[in-house]
Amino acid sequence: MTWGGWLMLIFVWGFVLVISGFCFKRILSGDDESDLQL
Amino acid sequence: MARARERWGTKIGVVLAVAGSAVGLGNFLRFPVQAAQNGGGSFMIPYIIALLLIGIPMMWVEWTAGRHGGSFGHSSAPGILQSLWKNNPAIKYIGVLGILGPLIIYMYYVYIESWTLAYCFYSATGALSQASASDQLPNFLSGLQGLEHNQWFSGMTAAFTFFIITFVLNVTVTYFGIRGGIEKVCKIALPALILFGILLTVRVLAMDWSEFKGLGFLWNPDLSQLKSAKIWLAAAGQVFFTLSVGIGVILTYSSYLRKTDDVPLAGLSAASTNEFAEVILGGSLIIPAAFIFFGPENIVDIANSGSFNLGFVTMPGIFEHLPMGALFSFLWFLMLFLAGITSSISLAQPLVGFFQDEFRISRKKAVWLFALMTFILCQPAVWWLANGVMDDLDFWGGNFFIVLGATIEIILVAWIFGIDKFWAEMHVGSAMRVPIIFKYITKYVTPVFLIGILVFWIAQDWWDTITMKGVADENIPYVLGTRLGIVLLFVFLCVLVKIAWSKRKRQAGKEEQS
Repeated sequence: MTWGGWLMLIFVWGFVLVISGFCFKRILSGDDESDLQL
Repeated sequence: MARARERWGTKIGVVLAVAGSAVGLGNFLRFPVQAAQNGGGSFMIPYIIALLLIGIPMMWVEWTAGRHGGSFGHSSAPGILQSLWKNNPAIKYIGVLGILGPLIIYMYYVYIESWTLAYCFYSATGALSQASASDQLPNFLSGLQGLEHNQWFSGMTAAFTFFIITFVLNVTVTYFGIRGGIEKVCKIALPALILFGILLTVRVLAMDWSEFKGLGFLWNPDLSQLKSAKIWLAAAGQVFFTLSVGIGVILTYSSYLRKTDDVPLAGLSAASTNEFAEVILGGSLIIPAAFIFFGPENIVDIANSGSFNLGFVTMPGIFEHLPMGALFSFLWFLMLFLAGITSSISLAQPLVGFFQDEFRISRKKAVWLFALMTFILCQPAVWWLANGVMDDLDFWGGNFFIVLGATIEIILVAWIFGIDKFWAEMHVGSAMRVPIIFKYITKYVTPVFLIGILVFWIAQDWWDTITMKGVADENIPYVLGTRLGIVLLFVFLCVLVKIAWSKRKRQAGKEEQS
């Protein structure tokens, strides 16, 4: 794999992982089954 | 009297359900082929741009519109669109596309899903290993599909049995409802498929630890290709199809949210989970494995051989040559099956929700009605696979109506409902503020992008399909029959909408009098 390939991979994987991490951290820290009853 | 509508149980549950709907066979079979055919690493530049300009704004539009419609007691596109444009009585009939689209996809998707279940079974029994050892994997697939009689299959018994099992599993999950069925299954299936994906990725990359040539084929950028409009269009198309936007499924799922739920966060989470499955897992499996195994001289032909060939012939062929190959083959097909079922149960919900909310019937009755209807509607794709029925259903349900539906939806929300109202509605209950630039992207850039894609595809790629160019003479009656069936289904759903609204009007009149 070339340097360009590594750069693309790190940029795109990093982008996806950072956004996923941010979202799930917030969702999991605020999730509470008890306040979501019908 | 207002009826208590179903609701999601947990925030993580709804995110995993929407992500489960988006993560489907396309993440693992379509994405890597698109990337490999369109410049490898350089494909990812327009892909990320399209994700920001179309994918994420469309996600937020659908989540917001769905929750808004849900607050009026609607869980399917006719009612949801009507709630966005109250004084236009015709809009509910356009909303029928949001039920018709998923229904058409369901008509063939469950059958494809059943092949993955069959392959799980045959990986476990060793039949797939035997077929691989004798270089018979293409025949094995054709035999299962009933396209040829061979030593593995002499008819449709196996295919139909697995179809019935898959169909019953889908209906059962739907029967147990939003919280008891869909949410529970997605909370298990999605983490499981991601875990299997990670295991398979590690196994594939371990074949090439020293040089990563397989990954290199997919990721090394060829920046000269960025000048080609084709790559930008392919990237926009991939982003669009992968997120399940425009079909009507997210509208339905988000209609079960509460007013206090955080739409921007939930939409972004579902999109990012889908991207994890697509870019990180999907991009590290088929194409890198095929490159390592078959070498650079054959990879282009393999990438062009089609998604089904890659998924059902190339991948098991590679795994069967590895130690514990049957196990990896089993995990591969189980991962595809889980990706398939979390998508197909979401395709069922718009029609089930429509029956429940617009005809005020119980979920159980609605599911029985849905099961009866779809069992009949699935038969053409099962029995006339060789006659182009599935391809035609895929074109209309899986391509045309999605882009048309999304274009209508974005114009309706951004221009008719109003961008300011949308922006305010989206942020109700949200702890997260979306950067203001997305307001302008949603109003101007996304609609222009979508109209451009629709016009370009019709002119460039779709006209031949619409005019049946290339369809064999003997298949024309089947293709025409499929199209007539779609028209009749559309008319039938419009009649149901008309009846439901008349009933609703009469009911409202009675309640006013009393």
